Amino acid sequence: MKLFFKHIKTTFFALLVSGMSVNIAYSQDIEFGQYGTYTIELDNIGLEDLVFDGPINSNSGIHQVELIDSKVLAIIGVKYLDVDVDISAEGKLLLDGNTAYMNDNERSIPFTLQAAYANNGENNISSAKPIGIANTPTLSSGSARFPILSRRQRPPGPPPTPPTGDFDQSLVNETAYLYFYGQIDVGNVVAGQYRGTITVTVEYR
Amino acid sequence: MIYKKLSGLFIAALLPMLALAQSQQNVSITVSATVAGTVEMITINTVDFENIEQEGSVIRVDPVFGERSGKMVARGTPQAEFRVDYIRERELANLDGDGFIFFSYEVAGNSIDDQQTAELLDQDIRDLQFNDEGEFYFWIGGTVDLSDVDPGSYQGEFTIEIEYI
Repeated sequence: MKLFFKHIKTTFFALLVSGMSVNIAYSQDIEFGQYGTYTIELDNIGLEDLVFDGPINSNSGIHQVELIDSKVLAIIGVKYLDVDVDISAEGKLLLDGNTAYMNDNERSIPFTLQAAYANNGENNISSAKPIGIANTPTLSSGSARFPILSRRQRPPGPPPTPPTGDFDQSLVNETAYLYFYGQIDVGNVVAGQYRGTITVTVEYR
Repeated sequence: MIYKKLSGLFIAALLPMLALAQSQQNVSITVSATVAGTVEMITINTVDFENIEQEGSVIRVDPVFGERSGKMVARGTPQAEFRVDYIRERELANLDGDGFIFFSYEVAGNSIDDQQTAELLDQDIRDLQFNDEGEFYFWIGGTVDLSDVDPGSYQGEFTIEIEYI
């Protein structure tokens, strides 16, 4: 009987060890931002949205908005925290934005979304890094995770001091920038205004 | 008492969610493109010189205030901007014999169907905009010098070019 329990103990210990070895394979992932009372802002830079300027004629093919002409958003938040950025858009611009035209090739224009971010404290496209966007005929989506202010290849520092009553977030705020651009492929479509929407969500990691 | 404790727990459970709500932001960006269609020109009236009162050898039809002016309506993409250009001087041929006369066109335009408030388009190239119904109105007048012309019936064309910007 004693031997039986010994076997069980050994098996249990072995399971623990194997379980631990599995856990060791993962890095630590601590969401410091989740439990703080940090705020984040997402602001439009400029008044215009992402506009493909004319003249655009039916059957005119590819029209591109380059990175330099992109729509820019500013993320204002705690510089040493990481943010998760989620981006999604319909894969088409629709006549008058009417979703009933999603499968109507004469009233929809395929849209390929591209995005980038800059987190060196400057609104400067030369330092922008691309955000991978998966474009399908019905949906464009992508995400990125980065610190508001780049750590410039340095290892991350110690965890930040949690906010207290004396904490003034404006002293540790910095601005990162998001850029949205892309192209449309204009086929044999009817004249009119075509619209789509890009939804951007930013939150602390 | 138990209700008090329950509500206390409920509020405490909400607090982390409130903290989370502050740290997330959403923005929607509109993507837009305007596809221009063809432009259709419709002639409502032609310029009418019949029995017009004449001062000297020159006769004139005022495109803004003249009742005899020609009228055209352009139909295109609602609210789309366009550029207009027209040939200011045309040769009109005598249909009954030899000779021709030179006709100097004057054009006024308006996004509403109101000649009196139309703007004289006196520059070579103008940037204009279709109204919400995709229409833009033109009134055509001009002057012609009849001092040295043979009798007859003269006819010519008026050419106006419209191009989306």
